[in-house]
Amino acid sequence: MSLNVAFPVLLLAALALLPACTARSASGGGADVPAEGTVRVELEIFSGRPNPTWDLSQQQGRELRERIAQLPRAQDGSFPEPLGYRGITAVLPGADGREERIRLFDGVARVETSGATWFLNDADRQLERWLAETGAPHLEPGVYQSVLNELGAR
Amino acid sequence: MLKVELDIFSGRPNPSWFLSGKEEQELVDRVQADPSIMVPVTAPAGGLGYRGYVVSVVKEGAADGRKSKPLPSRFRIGGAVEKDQSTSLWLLDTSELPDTEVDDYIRGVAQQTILERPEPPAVDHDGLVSATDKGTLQTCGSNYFTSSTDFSFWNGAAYITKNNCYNFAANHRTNTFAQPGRKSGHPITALNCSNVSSAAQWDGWANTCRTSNNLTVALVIWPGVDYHWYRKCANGRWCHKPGQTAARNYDNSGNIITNVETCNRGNYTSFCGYWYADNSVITVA
Repeated sequence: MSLNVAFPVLLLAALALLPACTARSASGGGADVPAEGTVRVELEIFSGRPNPTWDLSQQQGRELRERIAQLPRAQDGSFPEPLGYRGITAVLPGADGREERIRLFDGVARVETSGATWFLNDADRQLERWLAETGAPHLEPGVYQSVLNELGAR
Repeated sequence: MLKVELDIFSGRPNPSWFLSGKEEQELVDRVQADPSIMVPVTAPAGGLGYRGYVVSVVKEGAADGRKSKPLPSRFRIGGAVEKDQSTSLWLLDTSELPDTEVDDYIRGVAQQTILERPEPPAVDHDGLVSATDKGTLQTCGSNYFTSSTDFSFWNGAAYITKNNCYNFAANHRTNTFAQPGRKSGHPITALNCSNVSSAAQWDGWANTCRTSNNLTVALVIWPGVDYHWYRKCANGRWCHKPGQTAARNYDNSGNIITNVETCNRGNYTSFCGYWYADNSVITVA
């Protein structure tokens, strides 16, 4: 979605400027529950405020699964957690009720499910960027732009 | 009659609109309350993009019979420095007219810039001691320093994602992702130094040492986006807990923090000063 289309929604969010109003908290006990089968995304970026979260559409959820399936395995990966943007996480519900959690940062994807963890190679941060761009209608303009800057504009 | 021009374009003519009588009076009230928000049209206004507003008196005397307003014939509000963020945002709201040249996209760009621009120095808050009187770094007589290397109290799986920088600053593990002002009923309404400092002050933080058990903390801001706190720990080091991540004693460059003003803070570029509270008294929510 382009920023042009996203701005009316973004503006409403920015006007509120309050942590409680601009982000569904994925921390601190304020989180709502996504609809069954919905993929929830969390932008890992804030320190004081709860991180922003949003839900993918069904089509986006399917595309995410297809994109993950195409990523090659990696030997290992490290995830630094600096002050500021430090990655993006998606929680994918499974058919058997088990969740798969994928975290993307700086070319590495870490997948966790049922106690198992493995790593994938997200070359050129393509999947990380794609997932961040699904947040355009949901994120405050300044936050969205700073993440695009971090990921490098295409 | 007052014409407001949003100074934002480079190639196209800037959009402009006229204030209603009521809006005109409000602007007069605002500039009379703080004339310093009016600056010359030629004042530095910033580069490409939003550069504030140029207000022009285009006709003396309003249609409702009021006399001419005590205003310069042409002046600027906002620009390179936002002396009064609320007036700039209010002026943006007045552009919402049926036949406006300012669409939601333009308003969004301007609003974002206003919120990110440098903020004014100290302002009073509801009669309180100025919340933006930046506390200086003091050597308190009685301190409460926690370990600068053992963060197990914060980094356990049951707590790490439920407590943030403000919890850590107050040394109060509430599991509520505490917010400045929430405990005192004066929550943050804008993400700038003065507003977050004021909310913290309502919670009980002071800009001078307390008599005992001082927690010494520092507030920094990612302008318009977020805030962050550091707390002085043992051995002269500063520690912090960025959001849901682990509490630590190093900065974004991986260096031990001995000076919170000069350490690598990423986008949290505004340093707002130091605050103090008695560890046995301060609580957050």
